[in-house]
Amino acid sequence: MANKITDTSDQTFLGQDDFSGGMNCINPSESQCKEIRNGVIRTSAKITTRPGMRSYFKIGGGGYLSGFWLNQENWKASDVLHVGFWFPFDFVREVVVTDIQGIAIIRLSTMDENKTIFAANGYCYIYEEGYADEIACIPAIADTEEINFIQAVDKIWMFRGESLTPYVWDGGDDGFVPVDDPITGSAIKNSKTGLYHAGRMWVTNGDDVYASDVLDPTTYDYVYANWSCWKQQDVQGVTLHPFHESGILCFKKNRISLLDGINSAVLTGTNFTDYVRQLTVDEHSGCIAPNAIVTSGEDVWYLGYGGIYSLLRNQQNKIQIESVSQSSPVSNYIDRINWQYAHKSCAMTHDNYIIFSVPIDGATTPNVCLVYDRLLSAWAGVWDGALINPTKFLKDNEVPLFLASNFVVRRMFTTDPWDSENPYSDTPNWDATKTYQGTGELVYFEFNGDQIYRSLQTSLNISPETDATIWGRVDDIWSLYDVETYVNTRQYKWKPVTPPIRFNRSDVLFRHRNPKLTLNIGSEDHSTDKTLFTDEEYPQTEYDIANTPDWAETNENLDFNDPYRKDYTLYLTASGMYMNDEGLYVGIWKTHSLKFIPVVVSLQSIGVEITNSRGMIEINSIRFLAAPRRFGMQNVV
Amino acid sequence: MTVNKLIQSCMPAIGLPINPIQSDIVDMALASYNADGKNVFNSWPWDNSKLPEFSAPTPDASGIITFDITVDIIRAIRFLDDNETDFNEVGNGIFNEDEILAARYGKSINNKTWQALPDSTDGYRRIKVPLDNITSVIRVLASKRFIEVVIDDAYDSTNPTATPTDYRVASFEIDRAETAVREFMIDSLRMYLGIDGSNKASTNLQVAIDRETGQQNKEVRVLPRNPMFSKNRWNS
Repeated sequence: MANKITDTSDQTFLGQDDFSGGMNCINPSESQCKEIRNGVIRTSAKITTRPGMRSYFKIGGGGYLSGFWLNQENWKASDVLHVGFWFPFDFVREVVVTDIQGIAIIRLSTMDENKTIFAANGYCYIYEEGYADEIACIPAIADTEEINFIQAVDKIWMFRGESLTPYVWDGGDDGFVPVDDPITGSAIKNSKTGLYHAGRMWVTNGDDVYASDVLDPTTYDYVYANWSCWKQQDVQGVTLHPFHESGILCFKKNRISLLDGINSAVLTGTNFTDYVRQLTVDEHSGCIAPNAIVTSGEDVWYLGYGGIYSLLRNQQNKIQIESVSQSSPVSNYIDRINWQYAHKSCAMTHDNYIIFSVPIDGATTPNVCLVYDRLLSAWAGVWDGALINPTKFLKDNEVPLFLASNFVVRRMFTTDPWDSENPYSDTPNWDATKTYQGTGELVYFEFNGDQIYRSLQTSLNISPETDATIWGRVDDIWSLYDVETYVNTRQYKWKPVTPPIRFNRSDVLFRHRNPKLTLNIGSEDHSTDKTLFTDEEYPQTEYDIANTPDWAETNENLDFNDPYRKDYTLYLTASGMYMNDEGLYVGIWKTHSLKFIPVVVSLQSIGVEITNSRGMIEINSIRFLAAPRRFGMQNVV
Repeated sequence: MTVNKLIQSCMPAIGLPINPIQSDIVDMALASYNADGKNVFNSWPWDNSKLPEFSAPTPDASGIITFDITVDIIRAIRFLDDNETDFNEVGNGIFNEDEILAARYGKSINNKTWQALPDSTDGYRRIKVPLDNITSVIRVLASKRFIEVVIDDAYDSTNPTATPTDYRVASFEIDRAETAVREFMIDSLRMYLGIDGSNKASTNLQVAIDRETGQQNKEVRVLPRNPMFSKNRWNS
């Protein structure tokens, strides 16, 4: 190995073909990158565009009940005031809401399938496979309430905050009604939310935690089943999270305690508090977002000030807190979290991922997902996009869902590399009361038909069709929500060789489906920052072989499957497509490379930024031919 | 051959594919084309009989004509009748004269002559013509100016004529010297990448100039005509 600057005979390849280390912005190792956005690393340690997402159910402008019951006030009955008609059955219909107040996936014993229950605009609905029905709330709930649904003892419990009575629904026609007072003991406390664990309902009020009687969420003991967590210290409010078989973690914003022994049998003549120990876990850090706590295996991960932390159970069955935050490899995003609004963050686990959704920069609702891959034991990077804004994660059987900040329920994942099946309905309506910042916000606005506009300048009350300098109309709406994959590699250095080194013929090898690729090189001292390729595309109609006629997009020659085309992404034209009994091979990846000779001013190191703004890409390898450079010599490689 | 094709023809010499080409290589190749290509263009032995014709813009109130960027050195002018547009049509040709010649002869500038003026502030060539016999058609013979090529963001492959100076549209005009320009570009690129140049450009240019000057018919102007083989000598 060359180790002297005068030795010009050796050369080597720098770069990487193993990306299994994921993202590490601080000190990336051999298999890591400095930043990965919208990528997954599940195929042979290669970075691939993440799958897309879409709305779980369609929203539209017609209104929740419009067009289904043509009767006054949409009644399904006749009387003096209701003389119209109605269909005696329910259609699959649209659900139009502007403000989901709470949502959960439930399944009572009387139900055949999981159902989504949600409160919106002061009403409560239950939804299943395109059909939504209203559940009565008597008395009615207000449209300002923040609601949490908890399923326990074959009923749905609706928690409405610490100043309002919880409701309960048994699945019958009566709908939600206030929780009854118990025959003996004390009544359920008003609470923001509850936790049903170890056969008891656990509710919080202020800094206090109350446990119900076993299998009886209506009956409480305010003396012997009540614990205070750091009473009147730290910010008021406790979030509960189950911890293994006998514990409940009590998170405050800067403190954590553990109620241990909550699964104990209470013998006659003793009290529940005799069996439950309250342990201090951490006096200086806690969890700042009630929904941003998640259990993964033996670990509990949560978002606290300054990072994402984890608690685990050690081999001695004791709780143990990791002294270093788990999120240090993604600290460039952690540092950008808007902590004032971080309480809206949420987290989930799915498919061996741990996902935290947090607001960064000026966002007031979560706009970035930090994604940890347990298969890799590494951060897969971050996922973002205009429609990636979860405020609460849910799971409907195998399907992960999230409630978006614009109150739309969205489904993760699809096999397509875009986040919307219908940009018109997925784009938020223009809001005359909202100030748009001119940072590219998208709005839907009906003017001579469906239109989507992009905010170009700060505006308030100026509707999109009136001023083209403030709003720009989007022409290509189907590309609006494409997934943009971004990879910023580490700086590649030839450690045994003292710089300067010269880079020669290099390439980035990748597989693709209809990509639009931009490649940038840069050095760590910023003396070189150059875009070498911009929006490189690989047309589906052209062949890599010279003098070969273009493929006809209608496949009229029945040659779609012929080899050596530049890209095989299948898009149907308006004219349709011919197909023979051989069929069409869909989902074909095509491999290409970008070859270049990088000129790096500092002659010390080099890194690559790859941005793919359309379609899918899988980055296979990055290679730089490097050689030591002798002073005063030019022709060394 | 478009400049883009010229750049692509350079790629094998530096070991890169012809498509796609990294952007800094394109930038460097264009910089070389605009400098070295201009040099080749200016060193080209433009023959009088091959000078292109231009229509002169209308003179201003002082008789000053400012030409567009395509015009370099004005060689001859004719004022034509309204219905004539061909320089070869007999019209009112006028001669060049300047203040120094006029002073040397001890006369004022002849009002039937045209004068070369300094360039406009924008760098365009200017002349001054007499106002008293102006016609609506003024044709000039002039050498062309080298037009630099650019990367035009408005380039559209379906409408290339809209961006004539884009490197994917413009061509190097002197096809005989294309190889010389290409060698200049290769040398520049190799220097940029830290590789020795081939230094064949000057030779290539000389070959092209020799072909231009040595292998085509030209009007031979010798005064006195045929002095060695004159009838007077044989008859003497």
